[in-house]
Amino acid sequence: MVGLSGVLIKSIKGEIMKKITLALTAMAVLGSVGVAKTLKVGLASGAYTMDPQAFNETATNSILSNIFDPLVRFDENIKVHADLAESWTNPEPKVWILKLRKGVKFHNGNALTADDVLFSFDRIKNWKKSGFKGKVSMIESVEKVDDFTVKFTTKKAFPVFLRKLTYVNIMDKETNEGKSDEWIGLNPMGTGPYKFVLWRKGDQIKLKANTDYWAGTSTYDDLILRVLSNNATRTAAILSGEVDIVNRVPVVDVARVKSNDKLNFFIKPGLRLIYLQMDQFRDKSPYVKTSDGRNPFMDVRVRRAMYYGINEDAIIKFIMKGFAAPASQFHPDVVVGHDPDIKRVKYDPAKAKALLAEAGYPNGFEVTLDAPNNRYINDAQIAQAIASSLAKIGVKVKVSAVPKSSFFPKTAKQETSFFLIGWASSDGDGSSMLDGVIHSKDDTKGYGRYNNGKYTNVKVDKLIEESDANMNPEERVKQMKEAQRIGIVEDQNIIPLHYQVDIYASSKNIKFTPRTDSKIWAFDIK
Amino acid sequence: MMFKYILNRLFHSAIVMFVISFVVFFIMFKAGDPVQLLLPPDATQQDVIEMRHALGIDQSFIKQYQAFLVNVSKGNLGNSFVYGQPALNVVFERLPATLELSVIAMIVSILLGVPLGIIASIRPRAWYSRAIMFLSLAGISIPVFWTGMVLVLFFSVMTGWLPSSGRGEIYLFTSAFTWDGFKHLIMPVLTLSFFQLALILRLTRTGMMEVLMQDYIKLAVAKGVPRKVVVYYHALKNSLIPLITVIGIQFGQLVAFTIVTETIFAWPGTGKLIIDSIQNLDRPIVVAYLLVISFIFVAINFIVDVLYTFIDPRVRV
Amino acid sequence: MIMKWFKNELLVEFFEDKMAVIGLVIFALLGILALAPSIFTYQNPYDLTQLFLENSFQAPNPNFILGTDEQGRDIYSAMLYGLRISLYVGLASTILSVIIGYTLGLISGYYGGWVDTIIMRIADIQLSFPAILIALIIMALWGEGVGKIIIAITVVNWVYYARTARGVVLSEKEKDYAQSARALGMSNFGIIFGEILPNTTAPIIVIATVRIANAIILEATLSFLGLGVPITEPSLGSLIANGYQVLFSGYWWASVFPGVLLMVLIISINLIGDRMRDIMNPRLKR
Repeated sequence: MVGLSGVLIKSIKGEIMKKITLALTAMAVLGSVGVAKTLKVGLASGAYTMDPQAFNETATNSILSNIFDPLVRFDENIKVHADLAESWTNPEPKVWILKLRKGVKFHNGNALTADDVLFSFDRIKNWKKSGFKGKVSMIESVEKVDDFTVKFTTKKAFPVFLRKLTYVNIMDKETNEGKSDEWIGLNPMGTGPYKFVLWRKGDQIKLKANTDYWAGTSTYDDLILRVLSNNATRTAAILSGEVDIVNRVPVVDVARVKSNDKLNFFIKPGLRLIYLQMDQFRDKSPYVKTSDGRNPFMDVRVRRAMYYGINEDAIIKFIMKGFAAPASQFHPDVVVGHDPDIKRVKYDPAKAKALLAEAGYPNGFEVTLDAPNNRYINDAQIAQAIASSLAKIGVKVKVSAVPKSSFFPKTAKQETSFFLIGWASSDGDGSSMLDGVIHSKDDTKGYGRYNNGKYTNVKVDKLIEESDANMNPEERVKQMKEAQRIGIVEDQNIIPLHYQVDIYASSKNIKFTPRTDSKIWAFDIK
Repeated sequence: MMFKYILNRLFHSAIVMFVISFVVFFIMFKAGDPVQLLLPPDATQQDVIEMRHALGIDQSFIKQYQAFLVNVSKGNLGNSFVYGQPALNVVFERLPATLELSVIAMIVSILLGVPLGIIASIRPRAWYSRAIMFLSLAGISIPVFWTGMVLVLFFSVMTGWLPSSGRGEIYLFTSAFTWDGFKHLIMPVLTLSFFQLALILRLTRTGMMEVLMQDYIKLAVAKGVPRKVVVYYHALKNSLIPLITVIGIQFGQLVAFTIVTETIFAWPGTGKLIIDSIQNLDRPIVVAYLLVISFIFVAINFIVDVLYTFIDPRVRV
Repeated sequence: MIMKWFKNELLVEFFEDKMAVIGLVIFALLGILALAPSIFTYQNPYDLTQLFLENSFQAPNPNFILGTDEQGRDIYSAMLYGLRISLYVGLASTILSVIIGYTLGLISGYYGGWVDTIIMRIADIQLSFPAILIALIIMALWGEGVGKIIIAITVVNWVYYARTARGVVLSEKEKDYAQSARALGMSNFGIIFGEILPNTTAPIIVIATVRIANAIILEATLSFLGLGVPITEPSLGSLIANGYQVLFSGYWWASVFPGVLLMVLIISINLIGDRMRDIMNPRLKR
């Protein structure tokens, strides 16, 4: 009896088990055969290479950030967060010890270890064609402490070190060692949320979700990044739904995007300052014509007159259609070193004229304003509008807006008296602009590489150099603020115009948070 | 005799390409330093020097050109400064898209232009002939970019019938065989071929009209040869000669005008590549592109010349 | 003398065709507008003191009859000034090309020898290149400016005239009148410019009219690609290019009106050129 019931129970159990197994299997199969979600992105420019250490350029960096991870990463407000390095210490001013996250795998299954980190840093240092040398030049040595610990020693105390680390993407030593540059430029092997599928240069990049990503799974299985560099084309694509999200919506198309009820519209103040530099080192400047033959920009009153004489509000309103933030200083508010007490002056053509007269130019003068026409948002239009403003205070401006390939070499050779240019403090730290633009030109120490107006003030130089080595955050910021105050308020060494604002549009089906560093990081898009 | 002629032409073509490469190389050399554009702001002077050396552009012009020639003999046109990949590869990757556009546009122009030209030539004063001629006038008067703009405005933005940019799905090397590909092709091809069509139309018409006035044609008609035979056989054959020449020259022009079309339609061809490369001072790509284009051009001219000798017995070598 | 010129057979034939006359009239009208745009406009778009950003992107209205662009430039005024630039570039580059090309072609054909070889080889090489590429490279690397564009277009176009001139000279120099001039001891220079040249102007005029239109289109295309005239002195091409950027945002007037004017200009030139070609083509004579 018992035996029979035992068998009966067993068989019933078996039946039930069978049914349950069948049901579970069915659910598993159905679950995995879900519809693959694809995200189509329309980008204003494509990548130049798949090698994350070749070209330090926003579009390329943005695209590759989906494939690679750095040791530490910026969040959408450029604050440093742990990434492949889960923790770090700074036991001495010049020493940084980072502990790597365990269990992270490259897309080919290789485990991430300190060897890969060393390889990545060494490659940048030794590869002549790397555009990231500036991000590692402060490093004296990189040592492996153990498989998951790396020790960095900097040449001097370097307070901004972690910010620089966000630029170094970690590559797989085993895959890349010994390979040619061309090969590496076509075969990215990273640890990031997406794997490389294909790249049609100038057309599109296809990526596939990395299901083993250490931070979780991305919402989208497939990522198609399309290059739509023509403004009108890009707008047309988002309006027609051919893509789900676009960056760099042209300011004139914002109204159309906003009125489209299938689209969401985002703005995010960016890091790029658009400003004017003036020739401040020559007594006779080649592209200025004055009644007395001297260079008017040597006089601070003339420089101030320019500041008061440009109707920046009108430029923001009519040329940028409101999508720019008026600038009063070198850094926007998210950047370390920003001084909330420095405010922009109001447009005052009468005062500008008075200043000019005081300086000895009651009838103004003639000058050429050089600008690029394919580098910054509406650059040529802004230059024209500036010329139009200055004409009203008696300064006759001739605008020379040329492609960047002609423009930048011109400024580097100081073949200009007055030019429009931009600067993005992409580290999120004011030292970037202070070192590169404000400090006087000093090729041996590597300062002032972009100080093509050759502004010089020894006090400012000293403050900048001190702040670069000061590990005390509060003191440092004070020094940076003081350097800025002397430069802008006392010396008027540049004419700040505005900060560019990033404009995005996306389909209402997507949840997207724009980033200050202008990158589109698909992992965060839901 | 023929062999010598062919050899002569080949030699001639080679010289042409050599000179082109020299001139372009020189121009780009003079144009300036691409390193400024490649390196970010925080690069040091040392980085600039090293990058220049790595790209080989810190040498004198002669040395650089020599290196270039050595590379050419190995079939290598150098690496793009920007992409880091062999310049020839980058150009060849993008070439199919441009060729697709150019070839299809040329075919459309011929298929529409020749018949319309013939029609307009038989009875030049008829209303339909005048209408065709006016259309052709519009065709050669409207710049390529304007045609493109109007098409996009109407077919994409206002009606949404056609996609405004990009290239569609590819099957058997071309996107013409898929519906998606076809949709993407229509406007760029129309834009590109409108001008060509008009030109071919007018040439056919003029050629036909000239021939139709010849005595031997009148004789044939008088002898009772059917009109159709007269037109299609005798007249057409003789007007083909200038037509072929023009098609040959125009194909090169067409490839150049794809630059504008590719800009408007975000067509991933060589046109966009060359504009960007000139802007970025990417000399290897500019040189590679121009050499490829002139090679295509020279090859077509060569074929046309040879065809000439077969078609027109008056052209003796 | 003048009456004899007017009764010239060719002119009579020209005026027979209504379309050609319309073309001529339109072109003449545009020419007048272009010669002195300041008379016909109420804003000088090149004078920056007259531009106010507050007027940016206004639709056509009584103040600005065809609307404004983003700098507050009146489109109607800018069009007329742009027309002047377009015509100036087209005519100047054509005249230069004709002078240079024709002279080189004449010399090449008349003297022959290595002079001929060199000039023709250069022409061949240039013809191996799509014209727009040459102009593109020149402009992209040289910067902007009306003078530079004229030179770029001239560099592109001289070959057509040179080729034609050479062909004509080759056939003319063996003719009787040329032989007799030589026999009479006339200098080479005299023969070329005194005897042969007048007999060869007809084809040149025909080609020139066509190529003026081409030159204008080439300039417009270069400006559209951002490589043309300086932005503060826009030509029709750059106006269209600027307007194109904002065309889909609804600011249609900035691109459409200059575009229409450009079309009308080129069509009128082509109407004239067409007619001239038809009447001067010996093979179409009945």
